[in-house]
Amino acid sequence: MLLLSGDVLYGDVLIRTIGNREVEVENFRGIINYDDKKLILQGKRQLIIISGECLVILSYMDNMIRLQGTICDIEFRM
Amino acid sequence: MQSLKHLIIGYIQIELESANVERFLNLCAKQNIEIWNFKRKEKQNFCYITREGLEKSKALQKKTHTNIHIIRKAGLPFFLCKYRKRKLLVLGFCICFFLLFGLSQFVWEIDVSGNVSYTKEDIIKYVERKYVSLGTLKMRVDCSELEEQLRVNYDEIAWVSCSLNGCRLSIHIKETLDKNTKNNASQPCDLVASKSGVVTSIVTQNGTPLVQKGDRVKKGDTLITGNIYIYSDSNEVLETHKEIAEGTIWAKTRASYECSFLRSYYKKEYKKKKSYTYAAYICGKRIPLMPEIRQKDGMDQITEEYPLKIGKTFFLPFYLEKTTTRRFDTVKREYSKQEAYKSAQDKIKKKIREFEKKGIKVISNNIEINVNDSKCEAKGFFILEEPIGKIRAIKDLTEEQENKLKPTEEVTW
Repeated sequence: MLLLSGDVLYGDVLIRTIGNREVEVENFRGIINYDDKKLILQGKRQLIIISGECLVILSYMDNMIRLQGTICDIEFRM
Repeated sequence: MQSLKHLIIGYIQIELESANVERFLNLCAKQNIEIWNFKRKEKQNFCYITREGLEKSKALQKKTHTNIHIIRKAGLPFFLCKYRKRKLLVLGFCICFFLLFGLSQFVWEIDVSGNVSYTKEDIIKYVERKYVSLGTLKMRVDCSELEEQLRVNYDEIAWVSCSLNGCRLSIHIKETLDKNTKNNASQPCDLVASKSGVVTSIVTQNGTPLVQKGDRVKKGDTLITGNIYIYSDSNEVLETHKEIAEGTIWAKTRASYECSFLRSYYKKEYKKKKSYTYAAYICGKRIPLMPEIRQKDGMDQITEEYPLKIGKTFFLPFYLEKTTTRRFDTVKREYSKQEAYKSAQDKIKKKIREFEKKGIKVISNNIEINVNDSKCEAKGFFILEEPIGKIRAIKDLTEEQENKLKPTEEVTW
């Protein structure tokens, strides 16, 4: 049986964190809101809310964003 | 890597003013416009964008009612644009480029590796004097001819390879084995003992072994003979072949050791202050950059040379020479009994390391260290295990040796 991960099969968001200093998010549709304490991203089925301190968008290219700062919380909201 | 790319293509720091910055960012991302380091500080948005990206984003700015204020421009295109009217600067760049290109066509460094018995300086001196002096055009250097000449002039060089890497002429040589130990005879020969000892192992590749493990041998005894005897059924010699005896013979040997030194010695006590002088070498000419200090008694001078080079192989004909001068007072000291003992032990350890470097195993040492009022003496011997085979012109065997080789039983059918 072919095992495929959720991001390929259902288009789920893919989140990778490096400690609490950096987050990489893939497979999302766009930024809904951004300030230095909160970043809200639109996923396929839910919102992804990343909260923290001194948040800086390191890079934002097609479908992938890298965020740096002190990450406190990553929340999914339907 | 990314920042280097940005420097080459040029980037701009901008401030964004818009009611909906997020929309502008999303549209930029969709159109593959690179935006990085986006920060928001008290309702002010700052980020970096490529020069090309800024041009492409003009339509998006209108669409999202975004105003962009340029804060800083950086990178190569902006640098060139800023200095485009400075013709002398451009001329300087061009001259610099042509100079570098021109200088890269010459040999500015000769490097020798793989030498053991010949010194590096000797080979470099020979090459510089006869064939390639520093500053020779690279196209005039014939590596194969140089290899040939080196092989002809240096008997001990077995293999030589010359190559040009950048401005460096690399000479890699391989020397033949040391004369005392070489086993590359071309005529039939015997292997004899180079030292007296007890044989610990013998492996014969060619020839007839005359000794076996445990035998006591004296210096000059034949260990493996090049004579190969073919016996008849009645144990009589039918034929004798003369071959090159080959094999490895290890033996337990004894090496005496004696070392003595006085307990009083002189030591240099350096003063804290160091003086530095600099000089430049341009195309082999020395130009002092500051007044030089002449060496006198009670003064040590260390000279270091720093060649000017680009990368690893592009040597330029400029050297910087740094001379460090340190003054010292000579003070008479004396080893304490313990220090003298330790120093003698260190010397023994050094000797053991030397043996090990040569591939000789040190089994034990019986050395006695005596420290008296004026001096320290170490006397004794090492028990070693080392290869003792040495080639010698073939000799006929003695009767005793022949009898030893003779088969003891008759072959009966």
